Amino acid sequence: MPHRLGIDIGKTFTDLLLRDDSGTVHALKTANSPDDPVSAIAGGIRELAAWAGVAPGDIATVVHGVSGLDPAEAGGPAVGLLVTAGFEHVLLLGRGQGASPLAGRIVATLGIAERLEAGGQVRQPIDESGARDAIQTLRDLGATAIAVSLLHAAANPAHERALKALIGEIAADMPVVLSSDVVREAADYERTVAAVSTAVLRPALTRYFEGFADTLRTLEAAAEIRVARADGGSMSVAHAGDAPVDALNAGPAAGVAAAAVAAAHAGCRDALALDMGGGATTIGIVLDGAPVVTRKTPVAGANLTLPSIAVLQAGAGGGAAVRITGHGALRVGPEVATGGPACFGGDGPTLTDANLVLGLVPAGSGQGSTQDRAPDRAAAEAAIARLADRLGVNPYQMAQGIRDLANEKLYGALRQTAATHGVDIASMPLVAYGGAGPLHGNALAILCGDGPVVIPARPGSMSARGFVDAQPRQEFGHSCRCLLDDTNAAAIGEILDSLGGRANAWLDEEGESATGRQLRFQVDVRYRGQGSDFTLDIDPVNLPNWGLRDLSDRFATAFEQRHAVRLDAPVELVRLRAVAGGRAAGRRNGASPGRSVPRPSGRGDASGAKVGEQRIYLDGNFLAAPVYAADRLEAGSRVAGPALVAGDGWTAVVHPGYAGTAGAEGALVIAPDRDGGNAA
Amino acid sequence: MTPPRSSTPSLDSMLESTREQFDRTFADRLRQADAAGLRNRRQRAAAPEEPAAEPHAEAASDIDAVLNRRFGADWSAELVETQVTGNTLSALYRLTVDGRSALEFGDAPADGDREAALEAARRSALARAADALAHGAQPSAAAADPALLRAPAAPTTTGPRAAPAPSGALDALALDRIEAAWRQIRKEAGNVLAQAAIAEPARQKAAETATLTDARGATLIGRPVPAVADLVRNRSRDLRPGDVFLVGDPYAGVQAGTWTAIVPVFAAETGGDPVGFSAATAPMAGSAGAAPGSAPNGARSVYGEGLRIPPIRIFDNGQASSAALDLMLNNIPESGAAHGDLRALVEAAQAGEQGIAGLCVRFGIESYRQACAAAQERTGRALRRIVAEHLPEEPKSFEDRIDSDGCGNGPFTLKLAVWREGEQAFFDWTGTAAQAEGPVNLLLDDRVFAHIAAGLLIRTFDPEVAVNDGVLAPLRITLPPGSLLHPRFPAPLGSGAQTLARVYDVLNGVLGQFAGAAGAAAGYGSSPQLVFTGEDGRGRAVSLTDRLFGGAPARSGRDGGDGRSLSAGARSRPAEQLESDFSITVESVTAIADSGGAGAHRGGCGVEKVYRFRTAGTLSWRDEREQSRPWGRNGGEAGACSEKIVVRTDGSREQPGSKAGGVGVAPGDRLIFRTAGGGGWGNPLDRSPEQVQKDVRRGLVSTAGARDRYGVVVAGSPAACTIDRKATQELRETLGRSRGRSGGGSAR
Repeated sequence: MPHRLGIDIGKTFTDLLLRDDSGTVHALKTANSPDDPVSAIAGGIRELAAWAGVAPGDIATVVHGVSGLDPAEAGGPAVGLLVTAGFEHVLLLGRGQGASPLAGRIVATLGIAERLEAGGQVRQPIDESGARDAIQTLRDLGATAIAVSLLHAAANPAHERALKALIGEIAADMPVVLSSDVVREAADYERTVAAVSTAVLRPALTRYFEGFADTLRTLEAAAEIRVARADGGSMSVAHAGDAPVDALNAGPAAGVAAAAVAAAHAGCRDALALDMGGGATTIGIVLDGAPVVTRKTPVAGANLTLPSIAVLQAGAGGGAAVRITGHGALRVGPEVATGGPACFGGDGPTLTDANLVLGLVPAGSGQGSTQDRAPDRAAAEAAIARLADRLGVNPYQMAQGIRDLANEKLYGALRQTAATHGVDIASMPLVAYGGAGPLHGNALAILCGDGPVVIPARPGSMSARGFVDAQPRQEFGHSCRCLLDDTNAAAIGEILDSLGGRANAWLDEEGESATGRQLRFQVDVRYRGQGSDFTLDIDPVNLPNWGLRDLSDRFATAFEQRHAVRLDAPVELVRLRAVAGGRAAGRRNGASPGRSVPRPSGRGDASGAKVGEQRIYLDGNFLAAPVYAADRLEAGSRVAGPALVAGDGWTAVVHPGYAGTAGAEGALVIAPDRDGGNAA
Repeated sequence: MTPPRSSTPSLDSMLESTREQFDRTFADRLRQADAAGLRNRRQRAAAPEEPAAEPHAEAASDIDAVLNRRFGADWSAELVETQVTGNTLSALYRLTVDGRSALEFGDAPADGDREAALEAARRSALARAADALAHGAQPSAAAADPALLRAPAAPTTTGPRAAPAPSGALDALALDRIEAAWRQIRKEAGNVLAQAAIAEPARQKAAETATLTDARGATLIGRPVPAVADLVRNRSRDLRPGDVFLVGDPYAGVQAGTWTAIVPVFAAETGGDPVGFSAATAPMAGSAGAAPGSAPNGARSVYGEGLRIPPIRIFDNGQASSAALDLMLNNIPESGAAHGDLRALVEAAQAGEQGIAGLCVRFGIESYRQACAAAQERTGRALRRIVAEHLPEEPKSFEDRIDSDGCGNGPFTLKLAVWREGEQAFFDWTGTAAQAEGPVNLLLDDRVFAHIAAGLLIRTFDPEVAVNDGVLAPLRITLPPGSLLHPRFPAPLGSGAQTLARVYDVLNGVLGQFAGAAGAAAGYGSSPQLVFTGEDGRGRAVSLTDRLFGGAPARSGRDGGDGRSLSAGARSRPAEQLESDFSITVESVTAIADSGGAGAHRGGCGVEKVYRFRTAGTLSWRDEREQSRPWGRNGGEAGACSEKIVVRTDGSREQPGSKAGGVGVAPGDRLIFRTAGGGGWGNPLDRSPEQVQKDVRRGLVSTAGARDRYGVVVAGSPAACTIDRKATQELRETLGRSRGRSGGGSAR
């Protein structure tokens, strides 16, 4: 296994994570430098490599996530937009849910007289002289890039390509993005958003990675640079330039991917993934060993059919502002307290302050190592006490009330995620990470029905952990929108062939060997008009034999399993897709079948890892909780609750009646203590 | 302006003083308990000693004496309704104590002497009503629970703004958790519907689908479903786990064209009585009548508007009643999809059921019941404070109009007067037009309207208050019988949604008279709906329902959205999909320049959508604001009217009006559908020239509009226009003078 490095740039810190050829993982957090981000990262790489005993030149692969990019805000070119005449307000009107933020970013939208039929036939050829005028006008208005999005270009890109040629004649070096090259979907607004986003992001992304490559060269590192994707995979820098939108929000996605691996190590094929940081909490879901990928990816005010790992925004994290409303109700979030928690000198009070008052953050653990200083417990207590006075309770009750309310909301979001994907939340395993996830994991599992809680190693660096493993992945879709009865296996087979061809070409460009690659085919089906699709695997080889009857049967069965009814309604084919993957993109190794709930089998003595004792207030009781150092817990050793396990910048709470077992991978698995605490 | 109706004296001073006395006593006990170290956990035990617990215990004896003791001579009772179900007589009584009233049912065995049964029912009804009034909470099962009495006992320490110091603080925190859980459950149920529903209409309002109620049917969260309280009244004895009821009758409080599934929630330990109800409501495509996709505009009675489904049990003990299902689905086109939608509705209601049951397990049934009552009490208290602080004592009124009823009649006036007496708010629709012949009537349940009115007050003045049935007691609502908003059976109700949109406008209009800057201008109304029936070009019959959006109203600090849907789940269909699924060409979809009302904040623009039909077919539509413009606020101008123009292949044009049905189209005919713009907010001369320039560049305001309405002079082609600062300043000064204002704001 060659050395691989993952880089995740956060708001104030950058996570660097190196997996060396022995499989050992080394991690480093380094402060961002807004003026010269790349050289700060270079310093980090040097430091991490030295610590790991690896020469920078020996790092084979660097997978880099570009978080924080937003097409509506990113600098970059002044984009002009060409659309079919009569649809100039496409970005303003959207789908009736407000204008895309891109509408305020572009130079102008001009209409081109032309028209295709829905099937792609030409009804009205391009008015070439009008088009020339429009292109010239965009230039005059200062456009430095042009996005083109014509009606029915997904069915037939000929008119878009003709415009591109025209632009080339008028302004040879003008960058052009065609909507049909970005999303092949019969949805004009969404394709337009995708095209403009691509035009905005492409130069910024390309420029950043050029600079990054230069920096690696100064380190004498010759690593292959790969860009992390929103679907948990990765792609070459060249492909990222083609599809920069796919690089958006890769961080949370990689976190879920890493959570899938952590769950698998704990023997769980299904899991909810809770990423609770300071500013935000996101929830993902792992089914059958892999993160669930959605084709409703929110970008700049539109849901694009590009693939991304499904994540639900579940409000603020530890920094959630706590207040009491005018009519005496308690509120936790969704706003983040200005300047952060009171214990770090911010405006507080926050959820973090409440956890601190409860004693759940042992002194010296520096909850959230993104803070340089130790939390000021007195400041937290004062902030919580002010609220407590208003409600006439003591500060411990107040802090518990805040924690309970936060957990209630998170529980609701977890349940919603499970319901959305048709699984029962009871006993569903939970992977809890991010700076604050380990504090709340056990309490949430109790609400959810006592599934195991996996606190992965280095829970604060899961995005970078996911980047390290990210393999090539890309999807090639074709929107059909026809009734299953109106098509036939041969027609579908033809489309799948062509999608497979594109997928193989992409993998070739990625340098994936023919033997290592994976190619899967999927079809999205639904009852006509239905809001959500069902994705089924489809085998092009057997398609001619099994036919479409098999497809509609499988769909009806899947629908019935989910909704307990078989409908007498026409079945619609929505989309065909080829999923191109590298070696590990498909299934994960080591996961046992089904939703197995591992019993903490450890009997190992954890007393050697005990570093202190902490008085905590939990669910109405004052308890003495031993504090264990996470990095001293040996595999198999067992920690009975109440207990705190303190890591670098995080603390896991083990509730009374529960026990945590350290796993070989450095993870802690918390589950009901069926030994009744005898071992403690 | 309407003078206030003759009404009872302001607030019930006696009740209030009883309350205060009660609060003081309770606060004293709290202090004693605190001193004795009994805080929190023990308060529940102390509660049964409270004097107010007595009436219920005494209910079986002389109720009149109890009421006299509690309220002096100043109460009156009125029998509203009696009903015999099986062997039980139920009597609905209204108890009024100095202006405040409570409606409660009482039951008694009806096997013998009817008079005696009625008296027994009266005793129990009035005892409940007295409890409800004393608690200030909405009547609920929990009202019978003595432990609850501590809930209203929050002694307010300082002025009205001070946070109340709740009597049981830990329980107050539990209440916050349970309220948060209700919000989550509602979201989850909506999500289930959005996932499972087949047809677009059922999905588009998924976020608003769920309603959770307490055991009495009082709404805890969501839009009130009057049918739940009816169910409690009529069937409370034979509700079983696994039951699902369905209601689809506008005369049962369900909006026309929508169905509601209702599931009683049982917590295992209660032994029989539901702890609450979960309901899910969604529009059902094709449920409402002969014309595909919608009810006929020409209906003269509700019998012409499709199947009306009274509350029926469609799942009995977990078993689907196939007879009922077959009957309903047999009456609906595309019944397969409707079947799926119905199951989705049931699934959503069951998600709510599971959520409530889970809360009962976690918090205990008793605490859960207390929370149901306490939540309503807390909201009622907050709303009374809002009323006292913000509503005028002098009536303020506002009126607006509905274009037509689709049968050639109209316009129809909606008029609302609002005032307060003490902490009691009055919403009086006297002066509203008589009911219409056509289907624009809206049977506005007063509970539903109370939620709408209270929701607006709460959003405007204290947005963090939860809206539940605690809002009912502080509001007095008058909906004159026989009027457009309270039509007599069997008036047709199919277009009620358009009227409901105007109800919101009128409420906002009144609000504007006393709320200063708060509140919005008028918007385009409810999303107009176009139905095309014909064939798809491949010989198959198809029916297209396309929903259009218009200009949203501007409000303080914000422009109105252009072509903006008013519900979060409703999205317009991409032109590409319309063209691929139907034999229709969408020639253009554009925002209409200058259609948004000018203002410091601009009203949203209406949308022009041009359809060309490639096959013959029939059109129908429902829209509004073709005759009355959406008004502006605070000096903002009105938005443009809507317009529907059929252009024949020979170039001739027809304008069938606001609502039309049976409009035939031939291949090549076009329909130009223009939705209304939103009203503007504030003086247009106060809008910054840069914003006007931006609007001109985007084609939302014309060069002439910029000049004439905003006093902004721009030069050059619209897409690249620049501001002529000097000319703008001069023009704004001139316009400011001629419009009767000092040249205000031109510099801003």
